[in-house]
This record gives sequence, structure tokens and C-alpha cells, in this order.
Amino acid sequence: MKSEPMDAAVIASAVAGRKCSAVEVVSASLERIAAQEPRLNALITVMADRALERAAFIDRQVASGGDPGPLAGVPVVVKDNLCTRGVRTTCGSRMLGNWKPPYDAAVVEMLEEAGAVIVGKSNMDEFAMGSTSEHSRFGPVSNPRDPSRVPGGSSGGSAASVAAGYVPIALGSDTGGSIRQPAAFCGVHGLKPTYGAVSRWGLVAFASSLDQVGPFSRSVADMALTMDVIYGRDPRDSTSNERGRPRFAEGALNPSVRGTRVGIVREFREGVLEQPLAKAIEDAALALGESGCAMADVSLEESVTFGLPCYYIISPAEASSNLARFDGARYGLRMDAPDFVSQLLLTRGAGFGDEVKRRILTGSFVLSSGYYDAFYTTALKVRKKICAEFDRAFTSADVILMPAVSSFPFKKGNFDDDPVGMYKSDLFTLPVNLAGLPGMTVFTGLERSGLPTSVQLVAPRWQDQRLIKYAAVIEKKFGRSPVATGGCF
Amino acid sequence: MEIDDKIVKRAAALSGIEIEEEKTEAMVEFFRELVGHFQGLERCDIEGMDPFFDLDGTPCPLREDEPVRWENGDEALEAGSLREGPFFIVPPISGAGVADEI
Repeated sequence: MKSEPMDAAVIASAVAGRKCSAVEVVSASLERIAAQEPRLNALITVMADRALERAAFIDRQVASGGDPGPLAGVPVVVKDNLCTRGVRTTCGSRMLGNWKPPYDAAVVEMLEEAGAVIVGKSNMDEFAMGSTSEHSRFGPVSNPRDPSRVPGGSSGGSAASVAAGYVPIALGSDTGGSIRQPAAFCGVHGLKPTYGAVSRWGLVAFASSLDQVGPFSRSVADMALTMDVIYGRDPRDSTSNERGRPRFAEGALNPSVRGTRVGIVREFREGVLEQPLAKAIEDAALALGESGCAMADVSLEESVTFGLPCYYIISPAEASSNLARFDGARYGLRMDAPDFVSQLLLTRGAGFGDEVKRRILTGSFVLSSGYYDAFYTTALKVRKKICAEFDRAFTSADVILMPAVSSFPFKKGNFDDDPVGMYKSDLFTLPVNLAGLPGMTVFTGLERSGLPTSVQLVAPRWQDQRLIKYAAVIEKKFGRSPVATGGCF
Repeated sequence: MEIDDKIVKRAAALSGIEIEEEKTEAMVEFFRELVGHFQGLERCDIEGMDPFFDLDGTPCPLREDEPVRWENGDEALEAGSLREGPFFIVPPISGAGVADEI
């Protein structure tokens, strides 16, 4: 097995063409994980046995002339809030203990049916609540580009796994930026699909009106390949839907954007971003301009001004309801106590970490009698305004170009005593969740320091394929994301 | 709006979460800062707006709520907190409630 970066498509073609075996590919991935994990802590569970069995199955399928699928033998990591049958699913929390789901999440099924091999489950902020991947029962994740810094969160382990070359593809979940922000911090691509475009069946819920599953990759072609596999309606998820069946891979191959309009957000032009990140926006705009796009001025003033408080009312409200199921009776941890109420209080007190407790309490508060209308109902009305503001912006632009983050990755421990400061780092990503739009962080380069720059593309609902096209144009100009420390995939 | 430890303790009781006494003050401070941001929404003109309900104005397609036979009882039992033989062990149901505290 050559030890140089390989795209998922290259691996799949090599495995299907018997140029290498899935077992060889997966073994190389597992070796890479074993070598890097002591430094990165990106994975909670390494699924070596299941992965090697699965790889051997694919090799048998190829040997017998069967179709192994578009992701044949491709090693993949999934976030540890996606259920995997018989393999512990912890959400980075003590609360779930070593809970082993009796079923696979829909996206896990889809990946495996396409021939992918899941090699591990990634570390994450507990129950996906955080922007640094430091709030995990299993310890903090390090950023492969600079291990003294955080990888972002909450899907930091998935982003780090791709950046470090464990795998070419990983799945995360994005409720307020948890795919796009770690993608920006780790220097890879990360896509949050339209709300409802990818099944959430088997995703442990955080905030149900905002959660969405999506992929990380180091190339746009791999992103497209993954989207072709996981996109589409799943009757088991009543919020999933489908508007046509786009061919993402085709969009990546033939990214025609000539004659379209790119919206540049007025509010993000000056003084908001670290200089190299502001320059990344300018350079991406230039690249799109050279490909025949016209630039349009758009405003997202209300999203910028009110998005943060709106999100931090709605998401904790939904979280407080979703996480009520963790009562010590049905899953994972159960503390010993003489009666149910004491047991409930003890179990939830011991099982949840501080950040999760903060959010559950916030949710209970904004939903409680006397405060419901003042906070929750108001936030729902503001959310509607934010949706309308994006709709207006898309009357003058086909896609919006904006930052995913305002700064380079934080040093570890930066927000230990400042949770609200951490929340503010989600400013550029969470309005996209509030409006249910597809958004994608696109890698644009590495600074001399080795830290990555990026931009965010946002498209109208159900125009996920558009993101792939524009990202392919940007990637053509800036190159694909390199492996952080010389990996094999 | 005045945020004090009574508000935090009420939220904790509603949440079914015990907050250690030594962490209460930090939680009060957190609530004060966050609620300060929430109050910024007062500046948004929402006169005549309906609350957000769904994204497309079309209801999500629902699936039938049909019972499914579970093939492997052991696997289902394995997912519970505690088991004894072929049974889940449920929590004790006697004792004081929280209704009065709330």
C-alpha cells in the first residue's frame, strides 16, 4: 500500500479493479490511527475487528465478480452520536456509558451498502454541544495542523481524522456549525446539507429543528461522492424530504458557474475577520469572478445581529426536551438511589458534563412559565425573520460567499471560563441552520504558520449541488487540502 | 431582568439536574450574561410576525406508527441500563416527588 494521500474515488476504483485489497487499505488506515491517536485523540472507539471483517467481505464480493459499490473499501470515520449496531455510541458523554445501539443509523447503513468501511467513531463535544471538542468525557481532541490548538467542534474528531489522513471521508453532525467550523479549523472541506436532505434516523438528537448530518473530505470530488450516497429521503425520518435527485459527482466534474451571481455579505467586509481570512474571501471572489461569476452586494444584518441570541434560545430549548430521555432508566448510566426522583437527579447530575448542564438549564428556563413568550416565542419570530432575510438575499445571488469563522483555531483552554465567549464563535455558521440552508466550508490554503484559511458557501434550500460546483471552482484555484502530517489517505 | 440563584435552582429542578452548591454562583453569572444577550432580541422588529413553524410551509411526510417485531430480544435488553435475565430492571418508583419543589 503506497503511503501517500488517496481520494476515496481512487481507493474505490483500485479495490474494485483488484489493484489493491480492501483489507490492505483498511489495515493501512488502522496503522495510521494507531500511530497518530496518542497525539490527537480524535477517536473514541476504533472498530478494528468489524472494519477488517467488513473489508474481507468486500474483497470476497470483488473476487466473486459482484459490484462492491462506489465507496468500495474506503475507510470512513463517523461521529460518535451516530448509532452503530453492537458498537458503543457515547456522544462523548458519561451518561450513555457503553451503550450499544441495537441498530445502525441510516447514514451508516448507506455508507456500508456503498462499500465503505467504518474504522472508528470520532470524539466530539458531549452531545454535540460545544465549539472546541474539549467538552468530551474522553478528553480533548488536538488539531492535526497544530496540536496546541483545538480542532473546533462539536465534530472535531471527524474533522481531525480527515485532516490527519486517517480516512478520506468522515461524517459529522451540524446543529449550529459543528461541521463547518471544525472543517475551517482543521483545513478540510465540510458540508451541512439542506435541513431534511439527509436522514437523521439513528442520529442522537440535540436540537431537532436544526440538526443535520453531513460529510468532511479533503477534496470536492470525495465530498460529491459521499453526498451521492447519503442524500435523499428516508421514510424512517419524518423530517427527511427530497426535491429531485441531484448528481453531485457530475457537479464536481463539470463545475460550470458562468453567468451566475455570487452574493458578498456587506456586514462581513471590514474589521470582523483576521486578515488572512478576509483575504481568503477576496481571493475566492476573484477566482469565481475569473470563472464568469458576477458579484452582488447582499445584506444579512438581522442574521448577524440577532442570530446568536435566537439560536441560543431555540437550541437549548430543544435540547432540554430531547435530553429528558436520559433518565437513568432507559440508557447507559444509572446511579443507585432509594427512589426514582433521587435516582433521576443523581444520574443526570453525574452523567452530564458542565456544558450540557448549562444548555439544559437554559432550555428549561426559556421554556418555563413566565419566560416562554418573552424568550422562546420571540426567538421563533426572529427565526422567521432570519429565514426571510436569506430568501431576500437569494433574489440577487445564486450563492452567498461568507466566512465560516472569524479567527484561526483557538489555543486549548481559551474558553474554559468563558462559555458565552465560545458561543460567539458560531456567529457565521448558526444563521444557516436557523434558515435550514445548505452550507459548505471550503478549504482555501495554509498560512506560513501551517494554519488553514477557508470560506463558506451558502445556497438556497435544496440547492446542495450548487455548493459542490462553486467549491470545485475554488478548489481548482487553491488546490485540495493536504494531509496534515503525511498520511496514507 | 434580575437573575438570582432562585431562578437557576428552579431551572435545575425543572431539568431534573442537581447543581452542586459550589457551582450555583457560576451558573447564576452564566445566566446573567446569556440573558443579557437574549434581551438584545427586543431590538428586532417582530411586530405582526408569526412564530417559525417549519421551513417550507409543507408538512413533513409522516410514516405509519407500526409496531415492528424485534428479532433479537437479547440485543434490545443489552441497550437498557440494567437487566436481570430476560427483564429490564426499572427504577424504584416509590419515594418523594419534585412537584412541590417546582
